[in-house]
Amino acid sequence: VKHLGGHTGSAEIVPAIAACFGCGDDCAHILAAAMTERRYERRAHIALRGDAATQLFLLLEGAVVAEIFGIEGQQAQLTRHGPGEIFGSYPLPTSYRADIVAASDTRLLAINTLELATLVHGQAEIGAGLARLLARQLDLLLDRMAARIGLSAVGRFHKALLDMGDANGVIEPAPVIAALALSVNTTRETGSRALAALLRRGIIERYGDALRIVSRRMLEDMVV
Amino acid sequence: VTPLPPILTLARAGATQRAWEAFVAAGLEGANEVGALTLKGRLLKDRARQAAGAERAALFAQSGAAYRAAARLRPDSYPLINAAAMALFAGDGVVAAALAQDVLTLIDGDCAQGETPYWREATRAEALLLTGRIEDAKASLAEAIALAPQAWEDHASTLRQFAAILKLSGAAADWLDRFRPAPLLHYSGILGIAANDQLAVQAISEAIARIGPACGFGALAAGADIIVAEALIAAGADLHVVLPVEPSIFRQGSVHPFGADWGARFDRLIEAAATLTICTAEDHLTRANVALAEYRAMGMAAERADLLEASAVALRVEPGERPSVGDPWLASNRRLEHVPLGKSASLPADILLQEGTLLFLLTLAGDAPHAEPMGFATLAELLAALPPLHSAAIDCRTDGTREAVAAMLHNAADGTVIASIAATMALLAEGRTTHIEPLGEMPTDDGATPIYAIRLKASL
Repeated sequence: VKHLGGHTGSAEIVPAIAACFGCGDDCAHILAAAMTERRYERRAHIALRGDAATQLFLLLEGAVVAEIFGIEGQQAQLTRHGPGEIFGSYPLPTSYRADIVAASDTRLLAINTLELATLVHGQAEIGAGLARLLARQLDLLLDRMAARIGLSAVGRFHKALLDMGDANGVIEPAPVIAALALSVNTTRETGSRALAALLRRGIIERYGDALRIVSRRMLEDMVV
Repeated sequence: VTPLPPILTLARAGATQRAWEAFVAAGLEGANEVGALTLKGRLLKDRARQAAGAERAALFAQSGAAYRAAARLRPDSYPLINAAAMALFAGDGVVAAALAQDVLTLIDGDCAQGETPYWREATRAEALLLTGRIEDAKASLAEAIALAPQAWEDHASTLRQFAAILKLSGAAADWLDRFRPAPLLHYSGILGIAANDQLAVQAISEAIARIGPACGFGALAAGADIIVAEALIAAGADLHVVLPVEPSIFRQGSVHPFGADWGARFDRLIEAAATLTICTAEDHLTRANVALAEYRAMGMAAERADLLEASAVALRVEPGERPSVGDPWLASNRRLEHVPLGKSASLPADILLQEGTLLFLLTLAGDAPHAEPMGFATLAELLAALPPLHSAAIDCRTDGTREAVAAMLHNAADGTVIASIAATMALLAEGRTTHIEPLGEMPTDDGATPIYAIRLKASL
């Protein structure tokens, strides 16, 4: 367990929190100070069914699955969480309804449930960020239930860039790619590759410390 | 909320008629707005490509009219060059040349024209071609490519368009080949090559030099795979590693038993790879998940080749005259290079893989609700059970589950076939498709699955 908030790694953690919560740097620093980073190897148990759930987790890298066992002992996967998703308990501690297992090497940020609830009471921006995360998670769940085809990870990343551009297509300062990727539930690698392809084709260009969307129509065409 | 994106999604899925009906139903047929007019041009172009004779020409002409109307609202070389090309496809070379001349005037007079530096020059090249100035077009295309030498997808769009224009004009198109990127490689081969077998290294390196690939797709088993991957890196090509399972599990099963040397080489290649694709979450290797990963790697090479207007080549390192019967690549009629090599080391006793089951799954529109999807051992059998012009969903799995393919079906619009990424790559590997179009991702309980609209070869 590595404590954050001013320690090594916080430079990338704060933008990640800001992107996921959709909040400013001040709020992200407050959250980072209350969070601890955890890493799990593939197939490691994060929690067992019935364990006390006293924390809320934000998934930074990797994936976790919730596994349940049927009456005859057969294992079934209840759900899976990827980058930028949350799981655990809120607003009160509860108990896990399934085993939570790392599906690959996984990096999480953990925050004590009661401490987060206190922060939400004091900071509307953190509450708004949490509501945003929960709403997105509900959307994801409903999309899963409806088996609806939505945007691909790269498509979501392209859309996020479009949304960030001003009237002249300028994104200033240039976004932290890992954080932007996380905010659209994908990995840093996917975000980096997508941006590299846009730069290679001249659809986006570097513009001082900023990015500039050169062809909005082409980028819109790539929101698939 | 603009209705354009859902209509575009239908068009991309190949539901050409339904996309047009949705466009008309949204009251957009008479709309005088750039976005709607550009989409109208595209939808009419799609319909023209599916029509024949006089109807085809009329639809191309209507498409051109829509693009012209868009360009009248806002002077823009993108709709205007499309209007010029549509005029040629409609059989009116004179109008095409006049519009192309307008494009040249527009570009010369406005340095902001062209969506990117590449497209500004490539649009000029296309306009020159449409006015019959082929030598000028060649020079202009070379200049465009020099401006963005790595914008391969854009080069490919231009090459496709130029080929169509040259075909209609009856002019030679072979000069386009020098603008095509290097081939994309799929590789596979035998286990049981000694870690220090220099003859094998030499034969494989020579094959790579002969093919000259831009990149290669395949696994990293001890033996031929690793030697090919090392030769690719040494030749400056990108390595795209495709494994059936997590690297640590693959290493344990297909690398480690052959000796520590191979393990270190595997680790270095994983580090050096441009991308790493893991095909299943299974915790052990089986013949089935190995086959699935081979399909995936072949499909990735074929997909990239189609996207870039390049060729896809397979390299097989195996003993004997021909690669083993049943190699999916053989069904595609694409080029296959064979490096004949036999074993130079004995195989460890404990590398026998479990069989597992690779199953191709099909759900048809109109099946009874909750009907079990059909399962097939081969793609050929599946395609034989698929009636023409029937909405269907196709999946390919090793875990025995059939829920995803049943859930996918309702995303298949009128008469279209959609497929999971695993099935799409298998179809591409065997050369069974004429076109694939990414539709996005379908979230499932075990992660998001990319879904494609598939156009199957008519002979099937």
